[in-house]
Amino acid sequence: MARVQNPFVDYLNRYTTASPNHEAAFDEYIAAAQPPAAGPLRLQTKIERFLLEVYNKDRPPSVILTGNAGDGKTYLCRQVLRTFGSPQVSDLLWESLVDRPIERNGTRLFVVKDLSELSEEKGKEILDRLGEGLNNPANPNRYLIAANEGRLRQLLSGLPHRGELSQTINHQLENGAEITNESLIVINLNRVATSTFVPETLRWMTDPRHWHDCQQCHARDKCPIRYNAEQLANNEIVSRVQTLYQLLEAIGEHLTVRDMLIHFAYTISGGQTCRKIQQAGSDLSQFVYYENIFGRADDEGFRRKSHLTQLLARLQIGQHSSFEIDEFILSGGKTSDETFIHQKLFGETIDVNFKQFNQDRRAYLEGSDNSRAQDALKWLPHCRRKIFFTGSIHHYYRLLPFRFFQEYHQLYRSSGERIDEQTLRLFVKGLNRAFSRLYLHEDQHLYITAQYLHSVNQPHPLVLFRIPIDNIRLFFDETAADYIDVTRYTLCLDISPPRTSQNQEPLKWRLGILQFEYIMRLAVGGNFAILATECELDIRRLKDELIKRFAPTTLDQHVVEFFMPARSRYELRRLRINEHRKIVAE
Amino acid sequence: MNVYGQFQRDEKYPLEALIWGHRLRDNQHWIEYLLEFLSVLVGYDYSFGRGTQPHQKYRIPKRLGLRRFIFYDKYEKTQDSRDDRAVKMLREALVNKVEQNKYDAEATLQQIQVLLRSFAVIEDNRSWYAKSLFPAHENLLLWEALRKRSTKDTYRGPVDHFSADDLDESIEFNARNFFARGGELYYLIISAGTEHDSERRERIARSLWRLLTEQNQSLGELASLIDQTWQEQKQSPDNDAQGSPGWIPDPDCKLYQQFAEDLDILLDNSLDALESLELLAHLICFHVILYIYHRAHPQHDPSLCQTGKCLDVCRPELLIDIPGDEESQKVRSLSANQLRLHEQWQVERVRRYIKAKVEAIAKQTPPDQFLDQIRAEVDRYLGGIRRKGREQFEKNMQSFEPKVLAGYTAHMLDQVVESLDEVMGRNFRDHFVSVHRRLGRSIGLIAPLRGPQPRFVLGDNLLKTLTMTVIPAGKTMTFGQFLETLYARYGIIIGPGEARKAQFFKRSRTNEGVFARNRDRFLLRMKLAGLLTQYSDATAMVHRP
Repeated sequence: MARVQNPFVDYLNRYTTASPNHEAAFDEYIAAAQPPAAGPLRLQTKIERFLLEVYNKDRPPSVILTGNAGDGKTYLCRQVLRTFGSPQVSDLLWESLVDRPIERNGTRLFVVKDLSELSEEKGKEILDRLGEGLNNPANPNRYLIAANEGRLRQLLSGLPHRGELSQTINHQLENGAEITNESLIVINLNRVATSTFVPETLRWMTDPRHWHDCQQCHARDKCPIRYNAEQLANNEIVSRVQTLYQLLEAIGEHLTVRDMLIHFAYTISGGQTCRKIQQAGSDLSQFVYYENIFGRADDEGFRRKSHLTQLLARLQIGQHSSFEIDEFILSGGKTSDETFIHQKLFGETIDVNFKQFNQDRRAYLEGSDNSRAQDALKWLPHCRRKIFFTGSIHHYYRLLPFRFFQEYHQLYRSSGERIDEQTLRLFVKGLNRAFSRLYLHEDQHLYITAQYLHSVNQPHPLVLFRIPIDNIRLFFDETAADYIDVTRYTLCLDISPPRTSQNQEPLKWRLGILQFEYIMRLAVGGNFAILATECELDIRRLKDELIKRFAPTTLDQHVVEFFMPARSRYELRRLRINEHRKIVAE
Repeated sequence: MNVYGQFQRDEKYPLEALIWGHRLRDNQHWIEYLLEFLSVLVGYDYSFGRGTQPHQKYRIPKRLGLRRFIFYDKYEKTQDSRDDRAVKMLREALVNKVEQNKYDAEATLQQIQVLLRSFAVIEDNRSWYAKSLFPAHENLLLWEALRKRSTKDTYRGPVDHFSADDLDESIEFNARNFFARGGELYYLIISAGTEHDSERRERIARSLWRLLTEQNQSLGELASLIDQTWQEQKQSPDNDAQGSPGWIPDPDCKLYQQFAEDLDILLDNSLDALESLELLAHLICFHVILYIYHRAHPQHDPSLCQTGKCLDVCRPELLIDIPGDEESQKVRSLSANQLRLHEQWQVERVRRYIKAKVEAIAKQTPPDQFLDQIRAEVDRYLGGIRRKGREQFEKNMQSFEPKVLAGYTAHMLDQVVESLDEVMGRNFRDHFVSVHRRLGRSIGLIAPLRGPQPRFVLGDNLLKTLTMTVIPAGKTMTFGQFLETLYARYGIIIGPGEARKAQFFKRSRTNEGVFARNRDRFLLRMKLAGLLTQYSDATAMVHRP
């Protein structure tokens, strides 16, 4: 058999290593390059469909697209230009579109593919022109502007006379795009849940047409790249990968399409080339997809470049011991069912270096060779990670660093039904602790307290007002939208106002998995420091928002309610001054 | 001399007062600036601009019943049988004020006492009459009191027949050991700063009124009920005590207006009262420190204050050390130098003052009367100078006699100045020069609290306070603009841009990189404190928390 070079491997590597700018992942590059065997990747996204619809109208509105580098702003601009009948877009054309519009049916469209590329003056000028057109429907000028949110806000802060423009931009960025607005739609691509595209992307990357050439390669049987491509076509594994992405999104991280492409390319190739694999020595188990996906210790360079990989590495999947899982891995299974599954999982495949793992494992169990025994233990993190992706006996979330992932998942699955009462009470208790910074035991009401933090004596938090647990709902709300691929369900806290409040609008507050974890841990006695950096500010903002909305307007100045340390816990006390100017303890 | 406030012609003001007004003193706790300020304001019915005429006194509610109830217990430092009895009387009366129900009245009283005491802001090992509460409500403001001679003598007389009025006798309110007039000074500063802006004056007064009366009304009610119960035990209810303020120099100084502006913007917030007051306390002390540095600046001159140029010329140079690892040591030592420099400025200011006086006298007096004039000058400032100091001073004077008669020389004048400094500057060194350090440490401007290399830092609360004075409600600005504004207004130096403006690179052999990293760490601090949002393209916008 001849030496074979699979051109798709090179294609993938262009995403990850060759140029420092990951040029392959840039839209401009893709548009100009030679397509691979199964054609270039064309993700079907709602936002693209929406934009094309919008611009097919006779009088389209202006559109601002905000998002990170890699969210697809340039790509979308290019697609819109196509519908306007524009030829192949070049650098020169981009530049000219800022001041010389492209016309169609009386609409004059100015396109700014990157507001940050313009000077500050020019940027302000564009926004100024946009602002002017807002109030003037007869104005035929329309704008399609792609920008980073930071730059946009900075330029707006320098245009104080364009208050209306700032207001509508702010409002749409905070509350979602107003897709029926006829003058200006502001879409924040940061809201796109890239996890939605995981299956489609992996399907394309593992398309058999791309791997056909491997059949002829003599290194075929020891090649981890080919193995990875094969495995990642498996639905169960794809689903697990998607879960990981969803988890990151639930943590509040935004992943761009570019991030994902680079990440998956590396997951498959591990930064290796056909030649390197063909010339490589024996043990290639470290290049398996479930090591690449978290970044490998021997490739610090890639880890540094890929933000997504760093985020996943933080989860430390496989690095912590879980007794049941470790026992399963090392013992080979206790029951015959388990043994069967173990044999299927840890057979003679590339990722366990064929017979190596089982040999080491047996040496460990038999207690024979000391150095080999140590090797068996070295396999543990590796095997745990494999179980995360393909194990069927143990729940994968045992390997995640969350204590309340199961409860979170339960909430997810039961969205629409009433939440389990016990979980809600625990949550309320945790929230009480987070607000008051004391280990309270209340779980029937949510107490909004205030206290003087630097008292030289023990603080007695004053209760500003309280909300009964019946007013509180915790559930996964459907947040899907037609025009954009966002997370389908988001954890929401819905709090109805107490009787003492004038304001009758309930408060809706979105939570991520970290905030949920933070609060639940507090409820079971956890330390205030855990996850404080990530969550404390958010919780404080929730409290401030509750005070702003629900603080009683007619203060009962004759009642004071407070928590007092008594014996082993904080107890609620109430004092009132009645009509006869007497003090009443209640 | 141009002053604002009540300047007593025949009073012997020490040197530092003539430079920095009457007065600031080091034994005033940082929170007491807030307490005194608010008390004076309330004492003038929430109006600024009073106190310039001799008859304008502010009233001070005594609240002795309340204070004893909260603070006087068996652990009290200065036990007094009169107070024992007073507390007993009050509690007996209070029991009748508690509704009979399933809860024990004594226990209820105990709860109230503990609740109110949980707002104690200074206990230290002071006597009950010098302890204070955080002003969660106007009725919790307690002015420093003193039972005459209580630390020296123990009252041994019989008390059983004493009336409530008798028991309160001999407690006075003008000791000014802790409420040492720093808060008064601030009241005058804000009054002077809003002299030509009645709208701002109104707004500030109104915000403070709301802070002290709109929230925590129930606490205020409780406190009021307790004190009233004590009043009911007396034959005639208390008259409020009274006080009159000191004074500040250069009423037109633009710095006062800047302070008023800061205050105005800070008070426009939607925080709860307790948090708002805490930030206010930080701002007041920060302003006091800036005020000290401003007038100590080598180029400070009253004529500058008239024109408004003083803000630019006399800007301090507060190089802030944002801690990190590695080579932040460089910034740390530069910052420590700056702190020493700002203290040195004060010392030299005093010296300059004396020198100017001596030179003026030398100009106007023939040599043979020179020393007598000097002695007269000393007498004018210090009536009761201690004997030992006086002796040394006299000795020095006598040794100068022969030299003076020979004619004025610069060297001789310097020696006279030095000798005068020793005598007249004693109070300054003992009680004034440490004010800025003490306050600085309390508000998080100077670190460490104890330990080597004290330098300028920015604690989280102070940082939050300054963000809220620089950025009005509802607005944002870029990080760069924020740094520029901090420098323009307060002389705060963090990054290379401001370091260059203050000409740091010329004077010390550092490079930009050190300051750039300092600035980067500061950005991260602000992010963690929720004051800054950084977008994916690295644009950083500062906003209120």
